[in-house]
Amino acid sequence: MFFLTVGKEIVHNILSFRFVVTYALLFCLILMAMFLMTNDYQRRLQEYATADSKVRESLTELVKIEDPNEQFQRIQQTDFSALRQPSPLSLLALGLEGSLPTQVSSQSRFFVSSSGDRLGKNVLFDIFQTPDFVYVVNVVMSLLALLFVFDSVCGEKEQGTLKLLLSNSVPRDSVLLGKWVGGFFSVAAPFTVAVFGGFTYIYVSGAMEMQGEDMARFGLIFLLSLLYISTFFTLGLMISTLTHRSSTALLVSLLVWICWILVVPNLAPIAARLAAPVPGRQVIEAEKQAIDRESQLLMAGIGKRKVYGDQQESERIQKDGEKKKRKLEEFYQDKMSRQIAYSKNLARLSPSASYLFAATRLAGTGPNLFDYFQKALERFHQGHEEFRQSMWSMREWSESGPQIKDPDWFAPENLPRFDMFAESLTDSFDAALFDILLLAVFNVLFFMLSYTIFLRYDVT
Amino acid sequence: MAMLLHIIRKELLDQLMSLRFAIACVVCLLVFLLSSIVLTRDYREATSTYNMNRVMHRNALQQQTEVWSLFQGVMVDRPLNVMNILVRGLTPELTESIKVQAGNRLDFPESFEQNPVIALFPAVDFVFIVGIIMSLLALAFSYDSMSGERESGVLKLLMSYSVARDRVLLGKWIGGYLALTAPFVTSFAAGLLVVVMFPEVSATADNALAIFALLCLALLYLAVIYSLGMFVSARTRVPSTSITVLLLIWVAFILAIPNMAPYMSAQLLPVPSRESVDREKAGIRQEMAAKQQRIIREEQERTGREDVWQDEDFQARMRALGEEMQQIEQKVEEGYLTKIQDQTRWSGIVARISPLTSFNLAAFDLAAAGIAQEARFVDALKAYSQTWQTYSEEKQKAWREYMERQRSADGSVSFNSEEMEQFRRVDLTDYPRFEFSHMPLLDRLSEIYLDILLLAVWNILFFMLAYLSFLRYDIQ
Repeated sequence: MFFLTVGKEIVHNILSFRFVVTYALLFCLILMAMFLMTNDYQRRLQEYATADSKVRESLTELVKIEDPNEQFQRIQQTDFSALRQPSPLSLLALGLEGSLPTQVSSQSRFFVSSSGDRLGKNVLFDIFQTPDFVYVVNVVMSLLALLFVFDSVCGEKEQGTLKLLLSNSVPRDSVLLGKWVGGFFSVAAPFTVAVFGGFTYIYVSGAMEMQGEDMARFGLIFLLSLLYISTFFTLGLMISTLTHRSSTALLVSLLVWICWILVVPNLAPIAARLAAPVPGRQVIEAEKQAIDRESQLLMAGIGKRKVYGDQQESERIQKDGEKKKRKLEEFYQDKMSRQIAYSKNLARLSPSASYLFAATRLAGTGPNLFDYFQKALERFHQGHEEFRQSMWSMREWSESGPQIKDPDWFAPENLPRFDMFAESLTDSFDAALFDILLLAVFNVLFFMLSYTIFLRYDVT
Repeated sequence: MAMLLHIIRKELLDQLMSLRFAIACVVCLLVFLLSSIVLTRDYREATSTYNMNRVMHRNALQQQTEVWSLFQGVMVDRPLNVMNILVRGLTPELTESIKVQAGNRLDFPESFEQNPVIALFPAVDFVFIVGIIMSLLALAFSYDSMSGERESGVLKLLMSYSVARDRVLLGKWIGGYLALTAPFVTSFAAGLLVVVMFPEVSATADNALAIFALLCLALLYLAVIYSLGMFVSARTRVPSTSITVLLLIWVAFILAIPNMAPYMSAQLLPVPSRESVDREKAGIRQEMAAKQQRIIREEQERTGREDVWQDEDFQARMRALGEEMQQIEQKVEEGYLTKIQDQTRWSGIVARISPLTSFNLAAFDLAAAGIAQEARFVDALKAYSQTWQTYSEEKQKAWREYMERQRSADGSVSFNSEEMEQFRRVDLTDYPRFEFSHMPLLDRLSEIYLDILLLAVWNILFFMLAYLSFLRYDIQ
C-alpha cells in the first residue's frame, strides 16, 4: 500500500502542468548558473595564469642578471607580488571569493582602490546577488519545493480523493510518508538530472580537475542541497496539513518563505552588528598611535633627567607600550569574533543561512576566508621581512664597501610564497556539520509536526 | 461611471476580507518596521563613527606641524547620506575615509577585517522590500482576479449586467491595486515615523521630496507587477495554473535575469581585468625607458660627450618621446574604459528586460546612492585634490624659496637647524575643508526619466494585453 501511495503521488506530480513548467525553469536556471559561473571561473583562472607567467618572467629576468651586486640592487627595489589562485569550487558557491584581491604585494600592506577602479567597473555585478548554484538552490529551489507540495494534503481534501484514499485500510502515517517520498522524489529527480547536466558541462569544459577531493566536495554540496530542499519540502507538507484549502496553504507558504528566506537571514547580520558593536579599525589605530606618543614623551622625559639615558627604564617603557598595544589588538579581535559569532547564530534562525554557511564552508569560500586571507598576508609579509634581512646578512665587507661574493646567492624558490590555508575535506565537513545537523533537525521536526497534525486531520 | 465605482468597491471589499490582505498587512508592517529600526540604528552608529573619524583626522592633520608633511595628503570622510536608511545603494559601508593627495591621487582603502557574514547577505532596505517582497505580494493579489472569479462563477454573474468588459477590467484593476497599496503605504509611513523619531535623522525638503518620489516610483513598479498578474490571470482558466505561471515568471524575471545579465554580457563582451591593464601599461613604460636609454647612449656615442642633456634639440626629442609614451598609455586606458562602458551598457540593456532593474537603478539615483552620485563624489574629491595642492604649494612656498637660497653652486643644500625650526611649526588650522553636497533632486530626476518611462511602458503593455485577453475570455 505504501508503494502504491508513492507511485500515485509521483504519477500525479509528473502529469501535472506544474511539473512541466517547473522542470523547464529548474533545468534552465541550474544549467545557466553552472554555465555562467564556470565561464567566469575560467576567465579568472586564465587571468591568474597570465599574471603568474608575468611574475615568473620577471623572476627569471632577475636570475639572469650576472653581476651579483647589481642583482642585489634590483631585488632590493623589486616589489614581489604574489597571486591568489581562484578556488575551483567557487563556481558552485562564489561566497566571499569575489571580494578578495587576486594579487598581494610584498611592499604594501594596504589595499587601496583608485578612482579609476571605483568608477570604471560594471556596477550591475554589485547590485544583485551572484547567480551561482548555491544561490539558485537557496532561493529558487526552496520556493519551487514549497510550490510542489503546498496542496498535497489540502488539495486532495478539496478534490475529495483524500477521503477515498483513507477509506482503504491504510494507516495515516504510511499515507503521509508515501506522500513525502513520492513528492520529494518528483522534486529531487529533476533536480538531480539538472545537476548532472551542469556537472557534465563543467567536466567537458575542464574547469574542475576531477581529483578525489574536489569531486567529494561537489558531491557533498549536492547532498547538502538535497537535504535543504527536503527541509522546505517537509515544511510545505506541514503547512498543507495545517490548512484546509489550497489557496490558504499557498498564501501561508509564501508568507513563511518570504520571512525565512528573504527577511530573517538578510536582516540578522546587521542586527547582530548592533547587538555586539565593535569599535572601528581607525579608532584602534589612533589609540595605538596615542600609546606610541605616550611612550615617546616618557622617553623624552628620561632624556631630560639623565644625560646618558637609562637603558633599563626605556626598555621598560617600550615593553609597556607593546603590551598595551597587544592588549588593544586582542580586545579588538575578541570583539570582532564575538560579533561574527552573533551574526552567524542569529542568521541560523533561518535554514537558508545554515545552508549557505555549510555550502560555502564545503566550497572553501565561506566567512572564514577573510581570516585565512589576513593570516596568509601576515605570513607573506613576515617572510619577506626575513628574506630581506637574510639578504643583508649575505653581504661581505671588502674595500669598496659591502659586496656579495656568491654569484648564485639568489634562488627564486627561496622567496616566500603567498599560501592561503586550505582546509582539508574532513575539517570542512566537521565545521559544516553543525549546520548540516541543524537542517536535519528542522527536517525531522517538521515531519513530526505534520505527522501529529495529520493524525487529527479532518478529511471530509 | 456608477457601475465602475460599484466594481471598484466590490473588488476592494472582496480583497479586504481575504486572508491575503491580512497576510499582506502583517508582512508589510513587520518588514518595514524591522527594517527601519535596524537600518536607522545602523545609521546612528555610522553617524558616531563618522563624527569620530572626522575629529580624529582633523587632529591628526593639525598635530603635523612640519611643512613637508603636507605631501602626505589629507584624509577625507565621505559625508553621510540620510537616504541610505531607505536605500543602501552602491557603497556597502555607510562611512568611508579616503586619502586625498595632490595631483588627483585618491586612495579608497579596502579592508578585509570586517564582519564577513554581512558581506554574504544583501541588506533588507526599501529597495529590497519593494523590489522582491512587495512584488511577490502584488502577484498574490492579482493572480486570481479573473480565473478565480470565473471558477467561483461570480464573473458570469457580473457579466450578465450591462457593463462593458473594459469597465470590469479597469474596476478590478483599481480596486485590487488600492487593496495592495493600502497596507504598503501605511506600513511605509509607519516605518518613516520610526526613522524620524531618531534624533540623528535630519530631514531636508529635498530629502522629503526624494522620499515622496521614491514612493511614487515604488507604486509605479508595483503597478507593473500587478498588471502582469492580471494579464496572466486573464490568459488562464484556473487560479492554480495562473499562480504557477506567475511564480515561475516572477522567479525568472525578479530572481534570475537581473543577476545573470551582467555575467551573460561579460561572456559576450569580455573585459580584461584592471590588473592586466596595469601590467600592460607598466610594460609600455618599461619599453619606453629602455628606448630612452638606448637613444641616450646613441647620442653619447654620436657626440662623444657625456652630458647630452645640455643640447636643446635632444631635450625636445626626449620630451616628444615622453609625450608619445603618455599617449600610448592613455590609449590603453581609454580602450579599457570603453570596453567596460560597452559591457555596462549592454548588461544594463539586458537586465532591463526585468522591471526590477529599472526600479532598482532609479531608486538608487533618487536616493543619491547610485552611479551618478558616485561619479559626482569622485569629481568633488578630485576638485578638492586641486584645492589641496594649491594650499600646500602656498604653504611650502617660503620653504622652497629658502631651500633654493641655501642651495650652493655645486647643487648640495646646506641649512642651519635654527632657521629650519620655523618650518617645523607651521599653522595648518586654516586648511581647506572638503565640502560636498548631494545632487539636487531635479538633476536626479533627469537621470532616471528613461527608467520611469520604461516602467510606464511595461505597465501600459501588460494592461493592454490583459484587456485584449479579457475581451475574448470565456467566462463559462
